[in-house]
Amino acid sequence: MRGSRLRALGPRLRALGADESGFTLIELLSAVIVTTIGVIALITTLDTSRELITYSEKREAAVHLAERELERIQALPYAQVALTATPVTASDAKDPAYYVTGSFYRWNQDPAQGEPSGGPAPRCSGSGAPAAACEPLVVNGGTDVGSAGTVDPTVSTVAQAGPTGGTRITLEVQRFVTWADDQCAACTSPRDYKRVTVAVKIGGRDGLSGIRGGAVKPVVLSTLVSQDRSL
Amino acid sequence: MSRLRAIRSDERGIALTVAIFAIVLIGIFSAVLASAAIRLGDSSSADRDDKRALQAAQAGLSAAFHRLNAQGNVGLANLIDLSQLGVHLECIGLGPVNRLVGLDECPGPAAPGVDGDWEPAGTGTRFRYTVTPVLTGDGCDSPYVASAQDLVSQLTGTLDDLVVRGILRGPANNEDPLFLFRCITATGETLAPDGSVTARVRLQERVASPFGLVANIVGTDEVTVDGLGTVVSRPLGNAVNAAAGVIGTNGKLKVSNGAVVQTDLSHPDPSSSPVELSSGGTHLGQVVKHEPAWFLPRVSPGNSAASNNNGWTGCLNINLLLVHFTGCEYDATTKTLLIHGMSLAGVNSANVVTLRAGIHNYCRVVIDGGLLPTTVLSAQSRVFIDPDSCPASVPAAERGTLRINGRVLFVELGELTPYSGFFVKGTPPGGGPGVRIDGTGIADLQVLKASVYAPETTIEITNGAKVLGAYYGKRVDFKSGASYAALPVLSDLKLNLLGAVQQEYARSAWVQCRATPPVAGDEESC
Repeated sequence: MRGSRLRALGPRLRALGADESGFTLIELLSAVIVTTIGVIALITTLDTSRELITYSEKREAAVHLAERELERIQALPYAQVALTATPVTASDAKDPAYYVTGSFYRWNQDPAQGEPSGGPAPRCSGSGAPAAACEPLVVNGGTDVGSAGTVDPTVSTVAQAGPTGGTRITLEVQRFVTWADDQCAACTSPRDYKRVTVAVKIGGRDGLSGIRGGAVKPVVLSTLVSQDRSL
Repeated sequence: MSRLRAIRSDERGIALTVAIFAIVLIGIFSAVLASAAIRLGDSSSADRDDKRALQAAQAGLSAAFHRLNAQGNVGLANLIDLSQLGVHLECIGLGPVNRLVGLDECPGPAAPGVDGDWEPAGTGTRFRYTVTPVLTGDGCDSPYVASAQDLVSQLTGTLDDLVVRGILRGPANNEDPLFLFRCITATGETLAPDGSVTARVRLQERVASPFGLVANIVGTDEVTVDGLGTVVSRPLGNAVNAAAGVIGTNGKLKVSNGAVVQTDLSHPDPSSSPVELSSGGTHLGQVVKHEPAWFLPRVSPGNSAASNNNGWTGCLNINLLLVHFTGCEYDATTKTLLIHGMSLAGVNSANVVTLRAGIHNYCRVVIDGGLLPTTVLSAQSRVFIDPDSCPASVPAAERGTLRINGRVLFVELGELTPYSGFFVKGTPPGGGPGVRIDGTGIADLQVLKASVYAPETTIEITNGAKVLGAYYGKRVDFKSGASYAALPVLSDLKLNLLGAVQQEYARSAWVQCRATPPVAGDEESC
């Protein structure tokens, strides 16, 4: 009896296995779902990668522009390394000009002694404190500055067109020149040499924003220019 | 067999399998793309950090220069104690190194400054640097330290008690280092979130000797003294060291037509009979050996465009202070400086021009004493004359020339200021001597006390011109009653060559390292 039932089960299972009705739809739905998930993930990855690549490219361009601008200023005769006017203070803490306070500029935006870390460093006081981070701007007509300065303090924009038109990369260049007071024993002048700071903000088709609309830190290059170019 | 055929013909699940396979492929592709994007992002971050570190290192060089110069007279031969500046000396693998002052060994770090040895250079960057003593040798990588004794002896003392060696020798005193230099190595660092980035800049400022007195007259190819009344002599009664020599040449010293040379000749090969006498020429002195052969490095104006541009803007803006009007003219179109002493002679009997300290650069210079003496007061001024900078409107024969005519008296502003030096680059493209000092028509004294360095052209001193000072040229020709007398005191002859002759301001290759060095602060691991 039991044997005859078992014998009957075989053909039934074979029949069930051969029955493909409805299977194509389920399979297709599953495949579509899996494919959709995969494609969405791929698109997300591609988009993020594209943003990252674009941002990297912009930053690379900003670095090169900042370097070029710094080298240009370094190559000027010493007297010409001065701002033609005092830069205008910006209200946005991410703007390099945020650190302009009157005739002072905070060249070192690392936290000074006693200042909290994290967040934007505080601006200089009206008297240029903290002295370790703030320096007076070198502006035409100022102390020990004639009128030969040629460094433009206004924001200049460098834009690059994309292959299909429109602006692909926008870079905003700002320049600051300050007096550095060397504390060495033999350095008696409060204006020993000039510190040149070039900041380049990155922009583009999406405006001045970074990946996923996040804030973009400007590229800042800084160096000292001394009148003494030989021993 | 039929079962296998059945399995093969069974297509159930194939769509899902293909979908999963496609997803896997897409995933791999995405991962590769994301990885590439991340790498690109890292690369641009690294580039930014590299540039910032490099600029910080550059700031270190500027600071080093400024501090060294702030010490005052800190030319390459200056003897300074760098530890006073908080500057490290770098031994650069030499083992013990003699400092120029005091200590016998390369010292350890000076007292820590801000943040240890580092100094802040802007947001997230910092720098430090090292400075070597004055070195000789082939370069920063294979130097040895210049003998302090040599340096001292070159720059102080008198002809009475010093051997005028001419070119600075190496420690063994038989080498020809030719160059003196310091090496300044500045290190900049960016404190990146994923580790610091270090950039190093090495600067080798090299100054070819002679950096001080060489001999009174050097004509590397030849020196001629020709014509009755033409005399080259040591000062009377001065016991010059016999080995010193006042005339140096690698070729012949030709004395002719009644001319007299009363000094020794310094020559690399005395056995070659370098003195030629003819038509009553007289040489009263010895021929002493000079090793190596005389070498006068080329003049290289333009090392500092800013300072060399002083001369281009006009007579009153070239650091020439007219104490009394002398007819000083600067023609900007021809880059020619003309100083005339006769135009307003009645205004003041002493026509005086003060050559203020600094570097002047011209196509050509004419100083004409005229009827009354033109007195040129000098104060460490260096006048460069460069034919390459001449506009086409200047005749070829006048390009790169120095002409001093008539009654021109050079004096110094006090005892502490060395005489001015004229540096003539190359030779006039139109031929002829680059330097001519001519006393034609002047019955009384004409004294040029300045030093002239014209290693590629001829210096001609003629027609009764009377000169003191130091003259270095490819040829030096005394003619027609000209006379030269050596000065008794070595310091009087101190030609302010330091930093002026073949000065190289070379920035060497720099190395940068990514990520945190294995040992904190050990940038040598780069």
